Amino acid sequence: MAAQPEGPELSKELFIAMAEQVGFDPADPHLDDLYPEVLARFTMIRNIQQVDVSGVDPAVHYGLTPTGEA
Amino acid sequence: MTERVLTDLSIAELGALIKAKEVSPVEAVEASIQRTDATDPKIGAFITPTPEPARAAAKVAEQEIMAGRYRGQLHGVPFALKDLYWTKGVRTASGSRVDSDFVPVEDGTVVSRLYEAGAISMGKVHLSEFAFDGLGVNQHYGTPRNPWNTNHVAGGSSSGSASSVAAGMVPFAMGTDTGGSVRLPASFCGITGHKPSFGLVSRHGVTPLSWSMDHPGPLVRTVEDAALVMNAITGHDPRDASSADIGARDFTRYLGKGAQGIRVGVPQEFIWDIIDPEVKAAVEAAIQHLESLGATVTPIALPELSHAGPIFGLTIASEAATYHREKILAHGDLYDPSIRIRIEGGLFISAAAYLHAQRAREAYRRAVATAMADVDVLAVPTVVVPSPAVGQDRVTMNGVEHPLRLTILRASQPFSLIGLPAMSVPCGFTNGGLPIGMQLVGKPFTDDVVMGAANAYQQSTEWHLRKPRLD
Repeated sequence: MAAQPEGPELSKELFIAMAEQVGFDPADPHLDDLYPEVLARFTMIRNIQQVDVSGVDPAVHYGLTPTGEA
Repeated sequence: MTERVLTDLSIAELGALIKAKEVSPVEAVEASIQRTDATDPKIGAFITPTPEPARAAAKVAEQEIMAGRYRGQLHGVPFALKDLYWTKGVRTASGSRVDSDFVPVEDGTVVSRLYEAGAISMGKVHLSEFAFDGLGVNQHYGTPRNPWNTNHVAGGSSSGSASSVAAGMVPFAMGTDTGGSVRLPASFCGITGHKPSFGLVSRHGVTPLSWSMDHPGPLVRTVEDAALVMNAITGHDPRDASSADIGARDFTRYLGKGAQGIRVGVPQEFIWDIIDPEVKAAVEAAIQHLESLGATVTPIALPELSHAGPIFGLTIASEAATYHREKILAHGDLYDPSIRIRIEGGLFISAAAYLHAQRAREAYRRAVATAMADVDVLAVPTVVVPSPAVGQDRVTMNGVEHPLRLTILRASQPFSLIGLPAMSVPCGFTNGGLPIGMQLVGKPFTDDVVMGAANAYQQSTEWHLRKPRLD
């Protein structure tokens, strides 16, 4: 997949390139509807990058123990 | 006993009559069928009713009970299943057109356990497509209406589960909750709903939305009924990779203990920032009522609640997109367009972004655990607004307009994200007659503690005893 931009904008051109890699037909007009949704997801990514996660491993162990520890 | 009275009973009440052989499972099932026939044309809860298999199961249950083989408090009790629980030989469409022909070859674990307990399925009820909408809207099969006002939504995604219980068609129904899909419709419909601790109830045989956040849970009329259903459906399941093995537990054990000594924390941030004034007043009164019963109520600081939304959003989008990738790329036109783009948006989230979200999720979990160190439960609204009108997609509060689909999840998804047990109980009504719910949230695997607190509140109030008029 093409690199996800760190900046404030995902250009339409880069989005179309990513969509083709994901498996969409780049000429599909449906991509016009999808583009704003993907922009919103990228905004979420930028928001989460503001959270301090230094020293924290990802919570990929779904099961919890009765004490709440992963 | 008349049909109307039978369909007003809780599981505990109906189960006791069946055990005493004062009511037979055949009578209970016939009453459920008659009530459904009379009310479902106005509500639209059922997608696949199964009255004939229910009648056959009721006869078997009656024979077992008469022969002395009583299985327990669910024996002979009717229930409904959200149509994403796999049911052997019965179509499980998950609210979608893309799975409209899916007929499972086996029952899911929850379904099997309910059958083993003797409960009788009345059929499958509607949901949002693939459980991906909190309003309960389904453009393919119809949107169940709120029994308190049929111009309003029942809420979702367990829309048919909530509306069927609230309308008296069944004493309980199974739903699933990923960001609020049990608690939210329970609150909108004036009933009780429990989202169990993550890992406590098997997800095997439940069409997934988000593997790390899906929670099967019951929608019921009373806290006691939730405990009875939990006693039947919990237990380790090796077929669910996230199933916890914590041994047997009786979820009724704290019922009847009262609220004395229960430590209630009230987070001060985020959830109360955007809230309907009638909801705010009702939930604040409910918390004061808990205090009057002997609970200790303490304000707590939990500003990290504001982190939950984006973490939740990236997690659900990534997991749903991964599950749906092949189907949605090949048959995207079969999905509701609004749900289609929500799922497809997840295909553009990189593994690095997903894992960063999981690091933020763990940091958030630690913050919540620290904030809850000195309390037993948190008390907050279940939903910050009452049930919206059908077709409504914005809500205005204090002169500011908000997108409804995000706003309704504001108080529920922060606790789904980290798998905490959470229960919604009715705590009031708006001036317009729409129900309001209070949410109690516990530490991991303290579902019984949550139920003890919720039951103390419920047994000293009468909100849960009100019934909508549908005649």
